[in-house]
Amino acid sequence: MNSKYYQTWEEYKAENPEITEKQEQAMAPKMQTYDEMLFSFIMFLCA
Amino acid sequence: MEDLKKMEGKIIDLVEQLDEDGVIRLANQALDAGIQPLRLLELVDEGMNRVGKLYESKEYFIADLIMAGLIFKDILKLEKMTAQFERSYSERIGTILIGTVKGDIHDIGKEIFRSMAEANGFQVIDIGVDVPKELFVSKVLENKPDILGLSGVLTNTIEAMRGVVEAITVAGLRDTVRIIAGGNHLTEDVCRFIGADSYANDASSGVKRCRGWICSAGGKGVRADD
Amino acid sequence: MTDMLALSQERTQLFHDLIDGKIPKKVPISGSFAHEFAIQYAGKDLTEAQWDTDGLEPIFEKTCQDFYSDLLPVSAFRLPSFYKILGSRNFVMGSSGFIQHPEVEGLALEDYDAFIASPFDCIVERVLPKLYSKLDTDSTQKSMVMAKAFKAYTDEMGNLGRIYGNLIQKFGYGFVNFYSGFCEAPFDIISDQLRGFKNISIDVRRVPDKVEAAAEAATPLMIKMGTPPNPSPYNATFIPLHMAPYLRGKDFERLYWPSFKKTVEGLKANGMRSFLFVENDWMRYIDYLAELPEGTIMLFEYGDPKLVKEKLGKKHIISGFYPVSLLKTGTKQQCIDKAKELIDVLAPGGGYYFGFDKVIITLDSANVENTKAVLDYVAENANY
Repeated sequence: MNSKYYQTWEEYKAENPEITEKQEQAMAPKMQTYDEMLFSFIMFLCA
Repeated sequence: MEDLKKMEGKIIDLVEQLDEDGVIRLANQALDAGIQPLRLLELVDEGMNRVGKLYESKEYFIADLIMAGLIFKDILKLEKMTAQFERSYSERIGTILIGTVKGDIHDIGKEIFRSMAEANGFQVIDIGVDVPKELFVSKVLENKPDILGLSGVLTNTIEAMRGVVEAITVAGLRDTVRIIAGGNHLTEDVCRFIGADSYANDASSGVKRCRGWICSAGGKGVRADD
Repeated sequence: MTDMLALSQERTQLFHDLIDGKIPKKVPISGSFAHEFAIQYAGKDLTEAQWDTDGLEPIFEKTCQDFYSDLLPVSAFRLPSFYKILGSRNFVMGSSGFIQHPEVEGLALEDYDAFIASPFDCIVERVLPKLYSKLDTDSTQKSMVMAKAFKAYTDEMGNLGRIYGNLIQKFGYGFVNFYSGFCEAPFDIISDQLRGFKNISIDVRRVPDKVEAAAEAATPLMIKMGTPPNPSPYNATFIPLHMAPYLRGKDFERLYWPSFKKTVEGLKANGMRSFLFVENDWMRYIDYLAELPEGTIMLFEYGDPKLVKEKLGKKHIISGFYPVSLLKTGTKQQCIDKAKELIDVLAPGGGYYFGFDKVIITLDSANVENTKAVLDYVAENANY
């Protein structure tokens, strides 16, 4: 989904190339979850 | 004259076809050509009746009724019409007081009913949504309508409608007014439960019922034992 | 505890068999009561109890105790806290404490192009400030409001999730969730909170190209919205259908159906079956419903049960048709007879579970004794 207000992990990584593989394993699931949660919340507000 | 006659027929057709731009354009032309505002209204009413019939025959649906209601309002807003639309009270065939009962704020069915009823010559007093029974009683007392219309979509409105009918009865007003309940979920059994005189699952049949009551009462006022 | 676990497993099996196209041991039952009903049934005040989600567990328990169901029968869909924080114009508490939604216009006519270009951006930037007055302000205020509202929302959902888990365990309900995901038909998402019923009815006549493009643009959004983090073949995504019965067939065919069908197919591709609340009467569209992916769950409000069984019964899972209004106005015997009548038509050959034609939303929507009697009757008598 192309949006200013939603970011996939891949997009985030592209903006933050300093992230190591080890860090990625720890970070990625958590970071992505928050984008998904906010997406769900916003959609719920207009459904 | 002939041109005007042709225009009249076309106006009715365009309303029936829900051609909003076409209706406005031709209505303006007709008004410029000298058609009387009341006559234009009669033509639009006829077009609305045809829309109602198409709805009954299931060729048109609710979205179409909303469009028809919009066209009706568009016509009333035309410059040459606004001054004239104040039909005096004695020219209306009857008065209907309507409201959505307490616990429900839906108003679309009520609005469609209102447009159609006005197009059919009724004066309609709309007292809004989520209306408590006490307000129904005081408004009926104040306005003395021929018909009281109760609107509701949610299932909890059955009890609220019954409450209104009871309150009207307790206030000694039951014999002065016909009561019609409107809502998709209503049935004959539910109508009996509520204590209304009739019910309608849609605006079109509701307006028809109201017309029937008025006409059987000789055109002026309605008695409950008609 | 072990008894309840065994009961849960038994009930889960009923629904697994139903979903797998086998004939369950008996007709499964899914009662549906809104949290507002549960609050009133427990003798609590609707204007107060919705603010304390912790306190909802003992309240929901009373409904669970008295009304038979094989799946969790009560759930809360909308709660007031985050709506109030946001200054909601579209979800408003009525005088009785019941949350409803007045006609609103979240999407102006001139916003169509922005929505078509990027629906999510348009929703965040243009729609939400129109629907929520506290978001119609400067960006600093807006971010504070969103932070509070999001916290309130996640608190409520977290509490509810915990409560549902406890109730399922306590009462031995099946481990199947037909509300595991939620989304709408693309045409409906544009209609309900965005354009509004009246506006969309007119848009269909005035700007049908834009409506079509908007529905198409909204489709991937709906598929994403309806896909939960852990898809399961035995759970479902809830889709309440709205506008179709109010449209002409031609408009339905062009503007409603294609994007809706794509949505259901997209959900299936993501591992989720759809659970459709087929509100109002879809009988003139029944052949369309037959095109949807196999095993779609359809709960009907109005229509012809015989026709539905004939045309859809082999491919899809059917429920509904039982009129809540009869529970209100009928005698106990009439209510039971109606259940028997529907089961006789819909149950043979499987692919059916018992459910009312709509959620029972308030205490006065149905006679409690009749409701109990019907659910008990079906639980004790309805076999295949």
